[in-house]
Amino acid sequence: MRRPLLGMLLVVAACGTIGSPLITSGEVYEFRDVERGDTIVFHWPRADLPVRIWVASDSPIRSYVETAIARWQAAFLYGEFRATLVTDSTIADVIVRNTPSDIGNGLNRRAPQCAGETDPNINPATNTARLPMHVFMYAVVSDAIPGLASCYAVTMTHEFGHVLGLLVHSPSLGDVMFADPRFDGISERDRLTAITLYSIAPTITLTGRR
Amino acid sequence: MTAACWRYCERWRRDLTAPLVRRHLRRMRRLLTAAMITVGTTPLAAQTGVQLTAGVTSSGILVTDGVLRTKLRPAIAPTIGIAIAIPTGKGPYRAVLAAHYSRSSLRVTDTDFGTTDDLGTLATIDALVMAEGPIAGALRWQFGGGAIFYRPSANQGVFLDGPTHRWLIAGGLTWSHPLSPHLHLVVDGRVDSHTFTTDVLVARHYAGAQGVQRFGLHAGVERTF
Repeated sequence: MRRPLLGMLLVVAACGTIGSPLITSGEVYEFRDVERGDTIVFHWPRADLPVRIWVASDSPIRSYVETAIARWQAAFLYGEFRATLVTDSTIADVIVRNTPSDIGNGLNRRAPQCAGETDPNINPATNTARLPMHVFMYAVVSDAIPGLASCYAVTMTHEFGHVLGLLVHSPSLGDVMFADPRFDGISERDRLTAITLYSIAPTITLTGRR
Repeated sequence: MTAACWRYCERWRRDLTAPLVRRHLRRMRRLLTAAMITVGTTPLAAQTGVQLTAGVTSSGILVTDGVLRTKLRPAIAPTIGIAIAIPTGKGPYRAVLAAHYSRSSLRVTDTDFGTTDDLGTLATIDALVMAEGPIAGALRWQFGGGAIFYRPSANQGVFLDGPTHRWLIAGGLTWSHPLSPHLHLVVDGRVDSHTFTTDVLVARHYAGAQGVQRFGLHAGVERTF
């Protein structure tokens, strides 16, 4: 009597499947760029992971880059986005500088203390993104002004949202991808939007380095 | 052979039942040999012993994400094990305390894109308490339970909160063959079952847990006392 019961327990325990939560449209915001005449979807392909990030070793914003990478990596359950810091900028996929942008046509945000800009280098005509991407973040006030550290943390997390493929700003103030973000972290809507992005096929392929 | 035989043997042969096909005899010989090895070997009953084994463990899928169309599964892992078997009385039963360590890459498969990726390595340690008893000769059953400890190489993904452990039940067969009076060759096959989830999966509203079966095949030696 006991043996069949134990056998049944084994079978029942082995057959269960974990229940994945559904993601509804109300829980995510638009992440595709639909304003350039076509729908543009970009995310890093698994074959190109981890994304290689370069930031100067003595840069005052290096720790904020590390924080932003850790935050976005933690948003994913299956390693969809992974990044690592490299010491050679010539092999980097993304170059981060603590200077004002010298490109000027990227996705930008400006707060009272600091400003940031990301140039994903996407060409809608050819459906390609040319590496390396560039991220700029710099202080617009003196280092002694309170709030600069917080501004850096929020801004770098926001810019890395663009790096991983969130090409559009969130309409909600509670998200780090809001155009003028205040939220220091990654909201549930940011997280669900990012994993939704990585669950669909991109329209953009990478060119350049690699 | 007699002259009569010379005369009649040809006819007798024709009249006799046709000989069995040689393949049948070969099969029977193999079956007999296997049965003799299994049953005829000295049983390893009620002896205290220490086992050292090595083998492989194949794990089932840890997470099947039906929404993100993703599966997470460890690769087939080389495994080492140690066990202590203690007689439970004068009968043929023993209590077995066993531990196995296995380590392999953690693989994620995206079923939509058809891509597979390695997410670092995943080590598992299982600690089991099992009862063991005879089936026939050197073949014995084992059944018990314990815990499995997951040790990822990095705190990321489903292991964002670090190592975790789960309870498991296990059963299997073990076969032994004496190499010397106190040394035995042992081969065991085991299946265990547990349910898998992690704190981060629970925090992200994954319901229930994934049933995971593991199959292990190990060979090694047992020193009896």
